[in-house]
Amino acid sequence: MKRRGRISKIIYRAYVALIMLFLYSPIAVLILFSFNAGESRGKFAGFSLRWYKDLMQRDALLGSFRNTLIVAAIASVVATLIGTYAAIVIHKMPSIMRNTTIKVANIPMLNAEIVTGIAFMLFFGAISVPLGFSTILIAHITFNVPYVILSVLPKLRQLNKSTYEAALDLGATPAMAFRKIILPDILPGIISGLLIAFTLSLDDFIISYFTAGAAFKTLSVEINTLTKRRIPLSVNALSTIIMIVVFVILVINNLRKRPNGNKALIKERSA
Amino acid sequence: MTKKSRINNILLSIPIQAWLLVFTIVPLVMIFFYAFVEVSDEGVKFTINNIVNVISNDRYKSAFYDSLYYAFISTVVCFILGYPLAYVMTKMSNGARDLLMILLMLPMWMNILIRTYALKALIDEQSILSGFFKFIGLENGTLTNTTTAIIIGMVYNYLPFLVLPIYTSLLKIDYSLIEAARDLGAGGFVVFSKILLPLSLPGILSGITMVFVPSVTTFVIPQLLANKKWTVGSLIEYKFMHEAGAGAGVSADGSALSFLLMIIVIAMMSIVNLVDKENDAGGVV
Repeated sequence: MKRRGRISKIIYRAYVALIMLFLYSPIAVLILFSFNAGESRGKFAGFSLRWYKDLMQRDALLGSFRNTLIVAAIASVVATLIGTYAAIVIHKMPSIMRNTTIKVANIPMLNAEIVTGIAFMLFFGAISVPLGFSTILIAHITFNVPYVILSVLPKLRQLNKSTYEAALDLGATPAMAFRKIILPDILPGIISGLLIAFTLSLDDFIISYFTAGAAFKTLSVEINTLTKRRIPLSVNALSTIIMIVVFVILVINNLRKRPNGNKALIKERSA
Repeated sequence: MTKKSRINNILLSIPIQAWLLVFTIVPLVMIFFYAFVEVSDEGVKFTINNIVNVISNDRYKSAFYDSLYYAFISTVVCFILGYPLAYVMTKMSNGARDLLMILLMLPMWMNILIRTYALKALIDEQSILSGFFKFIGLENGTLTNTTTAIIIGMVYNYLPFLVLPIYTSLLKIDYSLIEAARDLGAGGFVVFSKILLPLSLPGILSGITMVFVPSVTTFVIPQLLANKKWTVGSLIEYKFMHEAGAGAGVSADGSALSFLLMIIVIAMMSIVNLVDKENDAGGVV
């Protein structure tokens, strides 16, 4: 039994290593070539930081990255406010109404991104709103809201109703009772909703592509224009920087709150 | 709950209902609208011609067929690769699990374009691997523009979406059930088919949906890795963004294609829901 356990452990490890090799070899090559002294993506001509220097001069690329951060920050905060409010009113609805509302609210999450993107483009065209910052923002808020609802609703279900009522009986105003009793309990759900929304906005390409228009470009839209020609290796440099920052954040986050941090996110994404 | 507070709650929900109506339902109605009308000088007229055109067009039909085929194969490959990985993860120590989780999520933080472009750099002509591709008999030393490239691209991009939900549902399984089955003489296959598979079905279904839906609809992966092959996604993108004039163009064919794509997605979800419900009703636990 013990020997069998050891062998299966080796097989497990080898398997995990193979999958990671598959997932990370393109990324490793991407990082390696960000340090390429030459211009090729296939031949490494020696180590250099020229593409990092080159990146600093690329205003379009850096500007689009700034746009991405702005859209993600505003969209995730607004979506968190709307989604939290929505979760609270949905929680109090009669059950038939609740189920229909949740189904409708989930549409942007479940539908194909390209369909959502086209729908928004047609919608803004029909009401004659030119595509740009405001349209991409509205689209991002809309596809973020269901993820926030999804992470706040379970927390509301776990609430102990009587503490809220007790607070009211003891003379608290509904606003005060909400702030002191309900908010602290649902806060973890709100925060994880905010993080998911921010991540999704940051990562989105398809919906941004159809709602951004020509004037306002996010990083992914800008990279897409670059793919039409030859992508400069400075994109590799930027991706490398982003990757390292995200990796550090994820590790710190993981060390900080080991027990539940990741599980919440996965549950949300898989639900 | 008193009657008054119930009415109050419904009133409070009006802003949300209005939000959903304006930004979720109305935009989708626009697709229905353009899929079923003909705009001419005489005005707007209802028609089913757009849909008929799309269905009877061989090029569109083969794009639909190809998209479904790529998505199906990718989902199967993701499942074959991903299920064992999710299972192995449940067997690991907490530290190893956390690290693996980070490693699985990290690529998801990189844009799909960057990820796919990174993959393209590996399978292109004159890439690090082209010597190897020549060795195994690919003439130009590249996988680009092949069906295999598309499948690899989809598996590479969407595998984590399948692993994570399955992992979560496997974690919930009571390990004593497996021990009991083993004590009673069950072999590995029986444990898998009678315990693991049925109990992780919700995770499997949500994982499969999360791979299949983006695979069947993506235009990024086929465009970057095999620009000579048309999928429904790349057709729709072409119709709206290039043929109809960049940005905010209206395309009858494109709307009809989007409409049909939506039907496929809804059908897929309904099947998944149905299986899920049946499982709930007649499940073991």
